[in-house]
Amino acid sequence: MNSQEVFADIKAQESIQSNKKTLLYVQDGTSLAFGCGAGILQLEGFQGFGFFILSYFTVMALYVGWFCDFKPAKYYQAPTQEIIVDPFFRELAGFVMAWTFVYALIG
Amino acid sequence: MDFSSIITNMSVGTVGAAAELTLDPNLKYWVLFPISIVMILVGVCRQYIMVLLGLKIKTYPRARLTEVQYMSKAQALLGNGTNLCLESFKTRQEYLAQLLADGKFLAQQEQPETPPNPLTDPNATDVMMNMLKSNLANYIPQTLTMWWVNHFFAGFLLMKLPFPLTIKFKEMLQNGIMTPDLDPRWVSSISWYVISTLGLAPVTNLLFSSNSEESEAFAIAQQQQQFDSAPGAPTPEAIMKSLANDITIAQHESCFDTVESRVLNLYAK
Repeated sequence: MNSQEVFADIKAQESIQSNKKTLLYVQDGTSLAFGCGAGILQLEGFQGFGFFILSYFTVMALYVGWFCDFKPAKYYQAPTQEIIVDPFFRELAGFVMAWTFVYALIG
Repeated sequence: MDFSSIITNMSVGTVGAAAELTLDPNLKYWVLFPISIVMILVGVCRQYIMVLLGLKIKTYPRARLTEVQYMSKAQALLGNGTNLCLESFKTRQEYLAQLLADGKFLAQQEQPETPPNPLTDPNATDVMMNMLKSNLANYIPQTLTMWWVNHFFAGFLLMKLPFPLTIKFKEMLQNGIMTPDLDPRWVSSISWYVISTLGLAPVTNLLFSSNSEESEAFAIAQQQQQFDSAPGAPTPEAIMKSLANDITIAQHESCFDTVESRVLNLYAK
């Protein structure tokens, strides 16, 4: 076994946790903010969900570019899974809540 | 204030079946805001209750700690043995293989005939009590808020959803409103409760991310996990035996073995 391979695979649990926390904080904040935005714009139906998809992937791209220096594999064990798939429904629920709330307040 | 006295004015639109309703703006201030604020406060209370419940730190007898630490020592040798020179690796290998094969530091020298009954084992009941408590801390506030919303805010429409729903949702979300043809987008207060239950996790995270108690509790729980042997897991004795086997056959390879060529490779480019 090549010892360099062994040392490349050492993971710090604290750093993994803190990276996930940072990502979750960014995604929670932005999805709530964009939900409020969708409510203020009075978007309805698929327009609103399209707005969510758009904002979600824009935020993801910005996060990968800005926080991860375009190397998400360096900070996450399974980048696609952890950045896109896992938080999706949580953020969607947050977005829908903020959207509905502001839509009802303004409308 | 008597909420049932808030009148929902209806003015049926002329275009087809699409009814356009005008809701009393007071609904926002007396129904939408109170429900939202109560939901957030319940979330806050639940957070603190969970912290209070999780504070208890379990202790273990010294023999059990020794046992676990010798097992992790063997694992550390297997994982990081490349950092040692051949001589010290051999010494540790012999010592640990001997010790683990003998089971010198086993906490429980003789195994009971039958596996312990998880219902009478005090540690297992403790774990189950904790699970029960956290489940109750989740369910009781939810049931109470749902009852509260259903009891005080029933019988009128609260808001219009920004997205269309199928007719199936009508029964659930327009519960208690006697309009058979109304578009299911007009919903009563219980649906705002449902939506905010689903979407509250990000809000709680944003409110509580500053205190790291949750992660600390998580770390402690992780640490405890290696001491708690789950029912059905291999006994410490079996783990020690297999570790002894692994250590006996472990091949030593020092990290300095081919270091010159690797360094040269690294700077060759």
